Amino acid sequence: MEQAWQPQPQGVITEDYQCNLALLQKAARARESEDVQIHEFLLLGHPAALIYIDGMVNSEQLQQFLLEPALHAPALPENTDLAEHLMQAVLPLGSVSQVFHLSPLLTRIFSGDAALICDTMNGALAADLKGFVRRIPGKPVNETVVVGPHEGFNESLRDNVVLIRRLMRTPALISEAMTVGNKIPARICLLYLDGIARQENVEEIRRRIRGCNVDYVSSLGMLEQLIEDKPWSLLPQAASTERPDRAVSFLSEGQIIILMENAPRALALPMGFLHLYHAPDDTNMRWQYGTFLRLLRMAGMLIALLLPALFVALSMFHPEGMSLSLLTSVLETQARVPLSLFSSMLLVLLIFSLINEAGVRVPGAMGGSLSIVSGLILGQAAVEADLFSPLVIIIVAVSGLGSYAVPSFSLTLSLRLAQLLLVLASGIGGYLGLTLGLFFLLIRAAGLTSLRSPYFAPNAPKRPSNPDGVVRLPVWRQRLRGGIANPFHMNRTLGRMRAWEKNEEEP
Amino acid sequence: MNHSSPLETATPVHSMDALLQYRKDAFAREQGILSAVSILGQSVIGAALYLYGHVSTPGYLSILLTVPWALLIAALSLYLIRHAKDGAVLEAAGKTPGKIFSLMLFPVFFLDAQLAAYAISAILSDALPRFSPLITMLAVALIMAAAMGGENEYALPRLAGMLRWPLLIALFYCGLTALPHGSPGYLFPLLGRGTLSIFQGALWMGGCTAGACCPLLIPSPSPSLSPFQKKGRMLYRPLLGALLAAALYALISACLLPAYSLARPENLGFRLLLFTKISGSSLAWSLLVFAQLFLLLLTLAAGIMRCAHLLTGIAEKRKPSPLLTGALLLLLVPAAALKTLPVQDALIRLAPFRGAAVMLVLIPLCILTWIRERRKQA
Repeated sequence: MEQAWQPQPQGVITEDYQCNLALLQKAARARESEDVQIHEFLLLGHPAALIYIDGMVNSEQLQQFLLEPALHAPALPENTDLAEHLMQAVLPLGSVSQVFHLSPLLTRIFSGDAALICDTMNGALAADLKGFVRRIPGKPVNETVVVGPHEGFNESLRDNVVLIRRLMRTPALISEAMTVGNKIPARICLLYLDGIARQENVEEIRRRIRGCNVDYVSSLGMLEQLIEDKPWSLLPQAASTERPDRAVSFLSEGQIIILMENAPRALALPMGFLHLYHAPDDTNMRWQYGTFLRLLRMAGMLIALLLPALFVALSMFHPEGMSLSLLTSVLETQARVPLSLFSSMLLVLLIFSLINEAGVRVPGAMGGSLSIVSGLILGQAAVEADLFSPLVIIIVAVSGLGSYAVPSFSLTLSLRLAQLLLVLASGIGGYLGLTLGLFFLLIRAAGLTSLRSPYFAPNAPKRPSNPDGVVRLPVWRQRLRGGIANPFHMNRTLGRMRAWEKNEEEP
Repeated sequence: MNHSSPLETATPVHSMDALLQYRKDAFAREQGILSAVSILGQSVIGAALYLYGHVSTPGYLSILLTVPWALLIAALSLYLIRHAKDGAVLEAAGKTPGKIFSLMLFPVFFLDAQLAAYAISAILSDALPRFSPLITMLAVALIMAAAMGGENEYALPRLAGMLRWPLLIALFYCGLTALPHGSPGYLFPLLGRGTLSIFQGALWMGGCTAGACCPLLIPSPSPSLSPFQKKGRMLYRPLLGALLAAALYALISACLLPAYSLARPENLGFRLLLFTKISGSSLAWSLLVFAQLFLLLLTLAAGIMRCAHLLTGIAEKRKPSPLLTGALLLLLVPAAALKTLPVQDALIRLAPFRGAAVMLVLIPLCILTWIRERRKQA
């Protein structure tokens, strides 16, 4: 039988220096890995060693706060434990702790901490001296807003927690450290608002994360797929955001945030369909503007989902459903094209998806050239060469515009896949195919849950809610927290939000 | 704090108990809406299958006459719900009688589904004449089985809840766009073929909508949602709304065509898509086909879901298996695909008996429950 891979050997750090050194050298692969540094020196007359990863620790801090104080350490008082003496009287560091087992020590070393072992000292001391390169929090790339802050998460877990805590300065904000992956653990952080987030939800997320039986979780996206309710569904079941302000808004609704090392975004659970449909700056705007934009987005979504399939069904199966002028135009343009309308539509939709994918992958400087080649030259040439009907290109372009109006990238992709499915269905069975395809997608979506909360709440099923759904009404009417997370305290406020109005006197 | 304005926060919820009650209400409301959608679907089928041919223009009066009958069924259902333990309404009289009652209700819901499947097949033959009805119905059954399978017991009522307004708006938009092409003169003579035919129509429609009037007899999929909401409005409101909408639909139909053109018995597809033949609007045409198909698919799914729940209850299991749903859907295919007059006649003859079957379950169950209550009090 194949042996399970054990990247982190098990063992105990004892008082025997030579034994510990040999164990660490072997376990950390110091001979094979050039960046694993072991620096031996004398500490209070005893042989000692510092073990760290070059480049992951801050060398100046290592020198200043660990090596120099250790070399000039005052003598050890009688009846005093060496480790305690070092922690209390020698090392001017707040984050030093004693570690007795090899596995956690290795995890800390490879996370950027420095480890100190010394002869006669029981266990090792691990000091947080992380100093690896990280990106300064910048503008969120995929969630730009017109009105609102322009600050996004970066790849450092600690920075991301700080970004959230800076916006939500309360001890009720709990940040709980966890790891996922049973061979190479990855650090994650669970954030929730104590007293608002439902403990059953927090416990359920903990249970799912602990239950991930996988060697290594490389990204937040992978974790999302491991913990979501229905992994076969087309729709995402966790809201993703690059913006700390949006993460804070999720927290205040009673949702739970998951952050992960090396992930410049946060996941919020549970979530509903409306979270994919709402844009971050909706709340920042006056309610009339927000409502108008939401209605535009809804129209965009419907156009993206249905327009190509409707066009195929009408043109191929039910011409009686078209006006005479449109039907004439369809037939005239289609007569010059060698492909059937169904094949043309599928092909143009695939080319459109290809352009999108190429647009994402192409280096920034070439983006302009790509849009000129794909949009102008290719489209124009295809129509002039009678390869595709101009109507098909117009329909695909309009549906593409509709999908770009959707704020969530996951939802855009879901819409694009559903759009292809519906075009296929309507190409096979006209309106029947389209209706059946839509029925299938809708009933699967209606049964969807996120952390066991219904996906289409507060509309289906009905849940306590604010007037903040498909349309958005004034912020001062929104006295409740979102019902989907089933928050512990439902009310944001008990009374008028514009309380000053009540006491206002006539001038 | 009372938030009565629609512009204000929708729900005053201050405690966990209130929240739980809210969920129970929402569940009951969803079941009521699914029931209403089924009633509307059955009424639309009934109007095209029976009322147009046998009652003629005053079909809407027949539908209105079913209102007291539907309310009686709903009242009896509500009585049972109020005295049921953990939502197991059919077991209120004991385990074995409960199973017998379930078996008696099964053909009612199966016939509901069969009628819906037959109507879908008729529309398909009219709209897609080049496809074999057997193949199309098989495809419908398989796709519906895939859609309804899995742990999806809440999905159908939720979908009905989401689609109720778009469906109603689409149907009446089509009716209104077709109305200028009709004439109020077509309504005359007002009593059509006479009062007897109107009452016969009411009896037929009463049977047709009977099954859909008692949705809460089906056990809740989650014990936390039982016992159901005890207020009757969750049941009565959607039921009345559906019957009034169905009557309005029949009235608009009657205004659109002269009585003699409604008498053609064989072409159900034509009569189901009646508005589209008259309305000049291409948007109305598309909307109506979509709305009809969605309404019929929901009606079919509701019938099958209830059949599956009844059989699951008899087998003392909690959730219907996807295989059972699939098998029930496939059972509908042969009769739906055979659009012959004998099949249509058989469906027309069987449909009114559903009312009797529902009453045969409800009345003894209510009596048994009442006796049990009296004994308990004594």
